[in-house]
Amino acid sequence: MKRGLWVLVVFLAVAAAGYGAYYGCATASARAMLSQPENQMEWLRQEFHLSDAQFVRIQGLHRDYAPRCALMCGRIQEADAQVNGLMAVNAAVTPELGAALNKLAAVREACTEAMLAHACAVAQEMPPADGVRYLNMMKGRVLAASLRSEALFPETDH
Amino acid sequence: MGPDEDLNAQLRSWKVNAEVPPTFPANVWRAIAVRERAGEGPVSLARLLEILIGRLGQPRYAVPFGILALTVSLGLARVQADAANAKTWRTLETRYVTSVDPVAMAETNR
Repeated sequence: MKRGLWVLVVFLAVAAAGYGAYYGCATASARAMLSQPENQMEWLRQEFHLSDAQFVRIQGLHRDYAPRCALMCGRIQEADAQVNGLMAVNAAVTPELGAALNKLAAVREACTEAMLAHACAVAQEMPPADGVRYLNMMKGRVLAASLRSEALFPETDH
Repeated sequence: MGPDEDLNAQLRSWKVNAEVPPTFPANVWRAIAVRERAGEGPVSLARLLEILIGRLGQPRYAVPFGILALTVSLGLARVQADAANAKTWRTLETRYVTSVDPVAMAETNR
């Protein structure tokens, strides 16, 4: 009985150590990537099998686009704040609120167009099959965002 | 009188005079009831563990148990590592899309 207990303890310890070692090794690269700065670009490189040259060009496109993207994000937030402010003052669809909603929708649409233009430029730098897959992913995301927007502002004219 | 006729005469004269004691049927049923009760009784978990752990002291039980424990733990580690990696990958995908989508960025900063 005592010997059997020792065997049980040793085997359970070995099994736990095996679990920890395997899990640690198998998730090490993903965890390391998650902790790096700019890890989303490294993800892009691995997910879409980019060569070094392709990656450098896409990083350049990303760097050029990032300030414009931040600017557009600011515009959306401004338009959003304007809508929220008007709704806080007057809980009715006034002409001012309608204009603010139209402006928000227009800003969102312009931002989506700019993002898709960037996505097309990035896709052209990728291997053809990966470029198609990348564009499909981005379109899926844009469509999901657009559906969320429609749910928020169902009566807004586009 | 030949040998066969002797045998036949013996067989004809042979009578079995066995008497069953009056308590015999009751004793049989009592014995059956005792055995059934012993067989149906639940083995306690502690007793079962005691038996299993006792058998692990023997190499012919210990080796398969060790292989099974290691296989199960490595299989579980693989399944959970795959799930964790898939989750990390989705997080990175979302980070990338948020970094190029002003609408998503504005929603994140909201």
